[in-house]
Amino acid sequence: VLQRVRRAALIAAAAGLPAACTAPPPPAAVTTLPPATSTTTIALRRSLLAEGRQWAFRVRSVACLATGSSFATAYGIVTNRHVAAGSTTLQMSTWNGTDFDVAVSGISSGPDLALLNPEGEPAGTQDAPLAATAAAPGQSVYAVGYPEGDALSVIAGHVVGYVSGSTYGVSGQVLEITNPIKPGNSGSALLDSAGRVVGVVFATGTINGLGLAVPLSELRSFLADPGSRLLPDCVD
Amino acid sequence: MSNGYSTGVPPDPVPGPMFAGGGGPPQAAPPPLAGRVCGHCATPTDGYFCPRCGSATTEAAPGPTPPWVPAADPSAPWGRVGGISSPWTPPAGADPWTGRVPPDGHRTRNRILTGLVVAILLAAAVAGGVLFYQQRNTARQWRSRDLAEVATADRLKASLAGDQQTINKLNGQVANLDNQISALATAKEKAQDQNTALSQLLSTAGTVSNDLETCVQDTDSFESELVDDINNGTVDSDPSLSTNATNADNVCNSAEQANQQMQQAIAAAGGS
Repeated sequence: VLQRVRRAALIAAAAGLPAACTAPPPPAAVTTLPPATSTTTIALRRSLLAEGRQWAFRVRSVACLATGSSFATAYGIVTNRHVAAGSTTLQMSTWNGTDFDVAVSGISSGPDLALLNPEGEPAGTQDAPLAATAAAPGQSVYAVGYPEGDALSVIAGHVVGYVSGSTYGVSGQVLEITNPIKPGNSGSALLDSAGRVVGVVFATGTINGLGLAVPLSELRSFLADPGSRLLPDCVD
Repeated sequence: MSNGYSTGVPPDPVPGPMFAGGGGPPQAAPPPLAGRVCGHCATPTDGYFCPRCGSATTEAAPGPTPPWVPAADPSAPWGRVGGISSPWTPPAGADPWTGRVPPDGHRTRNRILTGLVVAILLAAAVAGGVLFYQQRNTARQWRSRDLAEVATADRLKASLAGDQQTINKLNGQVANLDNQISALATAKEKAQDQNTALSQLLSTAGTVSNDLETCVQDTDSFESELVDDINNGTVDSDPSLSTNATNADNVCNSAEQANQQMQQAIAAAGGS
């Protein structure tokens, strides 16, 4: 009798299970899809420009009556030695015209690099990320700076190769690029497609018209040891 | 014998009750049909048929009390078969089919089992009803919620499309404003560049002006000294005359050179 009672109870419980399983579900939460990433060059340039606004500065050298470019890193603000020449302080401005002054904290005796004290940077400034590996020949690169003292711009090109600096009368290695570099681009960050720094623009070659940049390895060495504070004279 | 009613049907050729199925009542022999007479020749007989003429017999007169009691319940399944009343009644408490009287323990167990079966059937019916109600209710809720969700989704979709348009429009406006800010900032920086250059030129102009003034003074001084030497006839013998002339010449050359550089810078600043 007990077994039959138990069996009947089991049957009744099994009959009740489907009712529990068919309870209405809770309302689903509204989810938002992530924005689609654009891979077009225009979109990439816009993206790099938007990033550059957070760390690219225009440099004015009052002593030398010259303008150049620079960019913020975790080590300080990087520009060219010939941009920082002639004065211990430089006038800086952001893309939207916010002005501030910085002091020169390091001058390289090798590659054309200078390090500026980041004190005085406006709020919201971010650091440009350094690439993990050097740019390879043929790779697309973008110079982000203030050519001819104009607005912040992105100049596209690609890496030609690495040559000895003696070809251009400078020490170390030099990165040759096809980007049409203009006066005022000195000190511009050279970025890869991911927006990471792979070099620092410093000149245009008079031999072949190629843009010249300090490669990443030289930049890293300089940032690890910024060198002296001996200011060179203005460059004509 | 009379059982209180007449069947009106031909009598069963085989005397005695018939039972359906294999489980009929016990085969007890019915008592003899005493007190019957032939309907045709009135011959007394003990059977349904006259032994003389073969006609059916009828009840003649009340006979002696039969040794058995008719069934109290005329609806008992064994009471009548084929229109013939059964001369047998199962004892009280006996199984109506088997006619066996179960022992008391068996009877209790049978009642419990019957009760359980009835209870289970009732429970199953109630559970089925509840299940059906719940299913129907759940389906209704699903349908209702589904309709509400679809309506919400449509509303959100429309709202999202509107918001996206607004975002695109605002993004365009932001980009446009950014460009304007950038252009204004660039113009400001260019003006500051010019201001810096002109300040530098102004400073240089002051220096050039001083140099030129020194040049003029030195030249005047040299001129006066020269005039005096000419008047005194000591031009050839004045040792400082040559030195002063060289100094004045150097100062003026330097001032002139600075002036030319300044003029070039002014021209460049004005043309940029």
